Amino acid sequence: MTSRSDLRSPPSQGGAASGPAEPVPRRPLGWAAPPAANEPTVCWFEDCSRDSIAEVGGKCASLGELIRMGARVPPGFAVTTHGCTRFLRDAGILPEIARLLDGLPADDILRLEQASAAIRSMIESRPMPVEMEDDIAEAYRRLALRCGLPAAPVAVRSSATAEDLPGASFAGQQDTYLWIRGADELLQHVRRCISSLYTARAIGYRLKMGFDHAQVAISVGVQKMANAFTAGVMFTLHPGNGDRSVIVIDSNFGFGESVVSGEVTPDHFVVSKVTLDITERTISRKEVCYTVDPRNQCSIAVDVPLERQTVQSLIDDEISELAWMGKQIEKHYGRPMDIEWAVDKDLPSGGNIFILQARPETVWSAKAAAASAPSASAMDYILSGLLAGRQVG
Amino acid sequence: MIIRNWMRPTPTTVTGEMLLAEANHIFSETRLHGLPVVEDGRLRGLITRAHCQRAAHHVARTQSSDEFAFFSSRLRVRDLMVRNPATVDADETMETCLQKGQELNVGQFPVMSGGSVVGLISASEIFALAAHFLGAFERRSGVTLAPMLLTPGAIGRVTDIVEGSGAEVIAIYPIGSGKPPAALKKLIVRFHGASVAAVTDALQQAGYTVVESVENAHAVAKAA
Repeated sequence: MTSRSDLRSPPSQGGAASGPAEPVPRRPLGWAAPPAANEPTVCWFEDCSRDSIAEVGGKCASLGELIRMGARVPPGFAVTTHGCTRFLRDAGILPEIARLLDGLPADDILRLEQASAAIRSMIESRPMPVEMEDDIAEAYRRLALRCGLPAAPVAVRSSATAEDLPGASFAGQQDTYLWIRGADELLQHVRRCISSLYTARAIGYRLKMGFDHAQVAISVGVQKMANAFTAGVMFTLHPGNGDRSVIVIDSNFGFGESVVSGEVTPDHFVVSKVTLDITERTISRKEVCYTVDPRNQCSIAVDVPLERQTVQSLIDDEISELAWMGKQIEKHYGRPMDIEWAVDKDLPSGGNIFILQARPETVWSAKAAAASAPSASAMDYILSGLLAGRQVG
Repeated sequence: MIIRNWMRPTPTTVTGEMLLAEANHIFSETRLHGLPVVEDGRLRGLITRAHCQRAAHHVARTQSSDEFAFFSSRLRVRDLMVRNPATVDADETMETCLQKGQELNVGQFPVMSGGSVVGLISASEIFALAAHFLGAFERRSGVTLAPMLLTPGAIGRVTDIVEGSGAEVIAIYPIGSGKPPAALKKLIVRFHGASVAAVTDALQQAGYTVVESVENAHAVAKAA
C-alpha cells in the first residue's frame, strides 16, 4: 500500500503544467492511475450544457445552458464532480464515511444528525490536494480578472448530480454561501459545499429513496455575486394551481435567500404570459433582507427601514422585463421553469437583471407528465392534454 | 550559457499569507518585477508588479472606501498570485529560457534547482545577457549585410574581407527574421579598428550589400 504522502506529486512537478512542450506526468510512478485522473477539476459555466450534468451537477449545467441561450447570467465556474470525488478519495476518508453510514435508520433524526456532523467536520478539516487548490484558485483569479475586481465576491453553491432533476426534488438540500471573498475563504466554502453531500437531510432522503450514497456525486458552483438591490424567484406557471398562462414573481429587497428560505413574505406578482401585464399584485410587509456588510465583506441580515417595508420592491418595468426573460427561458427548455433572479444595484437599468439559476419546475410537471414531447409548443401541450382526457389549466 | 550563471541569485520571496499591500510596498521600494511565492520551501506562485498595479487600478476605479480598505487590509498575495507559474531549471541553458519565454509569452521565470527556488530571470537579466552579447560597453563598430544564404565558408569569406581591410573581427551574428527563421540570414559583423567606410567599401567590392553600419556603437547615417 502506498502511504498518503506518496500520492502527492513531488514539489518540482508543480511547474510542469506550465510547459506544454514537456508533458510530465503529474503523478509519480507507482500511483495506480485512477479512472478520472485527467478529468479537469474546474469547468467554466460557458463550457457546460445540459449534457454535462454528470460532470458539474444540475445547477451548473443549467447555468451553462442559460449562458448558451443568451440569458444574462453572472460569470463563474464549476468545481467538477471529478474534482470533488478526487478530494474525498485523496483525503482517504471514504472508508470511514461508509462505516459511519452503515446501517443508519432513515427515520432516526438524532443518529442521522450525529453521523452527519462527524462526517462533515471530517471533510471540512481535510486539507485540499495542492493541485486542486491551485486549479480552483487559478480559476478564481481569472474570474476576478473578468469581473475587474481583485478577489471578486462570489456565491458558492453546491450542485448535486441528482438535484434539480425532473422527478427528484432534492432542491435546497445542499448549501449556498453568499458573498465569499478571497482564495482562502473560497476554498474553505468549497469544502463545506462538498460536505453538504452529507447533511442529515440528504442522508435521510437517500436512505428513504433507496439511492446509493456512493452514486450521488457533488459539484460546486462558484459564481460572481450580483450585488442585489432586489432579488427573488419566478415561476413560469402558477405554483398554486399549475396555470401555465401566467408567470409568478416573488421578490424582496437584498439577496434572494430571504425569499428562497421563506423567511419573509415576499411581494407577489402575477403576470400574464401573453401580454406581460401585471394582473395581480400583493405588496407585503418585508421586515428583513440580506445584504452585504461592506466593512466585513460578508452577507448579513438587516432590518428593512420602516418606510421601505411596504414599498413595492420591484418596479413595474423590471417585472415586465423579468417576465419576458422567463418566457424566453421557458421556451428554450420547453417546460415550466423555476428561476432565481436578481437586480444589481451597481449597474444601470436595462442591463441590471440577472438570472442566477433556472431549474425545471417539479411539482406540477410531475403531475402533468403528459404525452407531450419536451420541446412541443403550447398548442401541442393543449392538444395532448385533450387527447389524454385531461382538463387544461 | 547556463541559467545559473545569468540569473539573479537568492531572489526576494514572499509567502501567500502576506498582505498584498506589503508586496506592493516591496515593488515600490525596489526595481523588482516579480516575486516568487514560496511556502514551506516549495514554489506556490508568482506575483508580478503588473498584477499589483492592475488590482490597484481596479480598486481605485470603484471609488469606494470599503474597497480601498479591503485592498489594503484584507487582500493577500495568494488572492492575486499566478499558480503553477512557468519555471526554468538552473541547469538549463539561456537558449531554453529565451525560447520558453517567447513561446509562453511571459517575462519572468523563477529558477528552480532540486525543487526549490534559487533564482529569478526577469527583464533585467535578459537585458544583461543582450548587453554582454552585443558588447554594449565595448563601443564596437560594425556593419549588417543583406540577407544571404549561409553556405559553408560564407562566414569565413566575410571575415577574410573585413580583416583584409585592416579591422579585427570580434563577432558575427547570423540573424534570420520571422518564425520559423527564414533560410536567408542577415549577417551582423562587429569589429574593432579600421574605419567603417573602408570595411564597407571592401565588402561592396566583393559583391555584398551593406544595409546598416555602426561606428563606435553609434549608427552611421546612410548616404542617400
